[in-house]
Amino acid sequence: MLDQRFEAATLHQLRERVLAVAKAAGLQGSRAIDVMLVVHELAANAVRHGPGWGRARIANTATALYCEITDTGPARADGEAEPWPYRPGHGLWLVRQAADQVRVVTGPAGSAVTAVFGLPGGPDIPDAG
Amino acid sequence: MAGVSLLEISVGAGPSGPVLSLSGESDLSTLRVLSDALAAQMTGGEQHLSIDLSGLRFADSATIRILLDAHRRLRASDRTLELVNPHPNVARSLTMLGVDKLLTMRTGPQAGHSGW
Repeated sequence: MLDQRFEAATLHQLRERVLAVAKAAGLQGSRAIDVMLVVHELAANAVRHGPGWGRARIANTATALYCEITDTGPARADGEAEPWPYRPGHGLWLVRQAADQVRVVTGPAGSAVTAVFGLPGGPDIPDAG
Repeated sequence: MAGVSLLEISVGAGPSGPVLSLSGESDLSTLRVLSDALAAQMTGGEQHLSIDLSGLRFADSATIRILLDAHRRLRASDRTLELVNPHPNVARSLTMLGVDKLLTMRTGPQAGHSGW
């Protein structure tokens, strides 16, 4: 449904597209806004604390929307070297509040965070912790 | 598209102090502009700063953190900050972060610089 690279200056374009995708998947009103906010916060983390850019992909099944934000490298040389995406702060707090489930995978090739949103009519999604 | 900014900020006068009006969207790319505008209000002597959010369609956690920092700095010199008429999207984030418990958020026609 979406596969888009982003950087600081294009975050607003990403938000616009994510909102449209969330609505197209059947999420309504404030729930679609939640998806937009979550993807933004994760993308902003990649920009601010990762390599400065990343990739967002959204796909859905019949019962859930999967939003994956990935980055492919270490923090940029001129920037902060804090590890991402585990940096504590308001952004991640919002993500965990708003998404039904959050999965984090990190490795030598970079990081991937997947936020999952249940679609209307589907079963409740257990929190993976 | 030079000159088109994601975030527009204007300063006006309200009944109890200056009013900073934010419109557009605020995210990582606009933090410096917002910080500078708030910093300019820190040195004024007036008691009360209002931030009119009615035109702000989006604010991320980094933006909210800047607003909270401004609130803390003002409070340290016995001044107050209030957020006025947040857009529903922004109000939702503010509530999720508990900001409504930390500072005054107002809605309605009496809030801000409507001349009342």
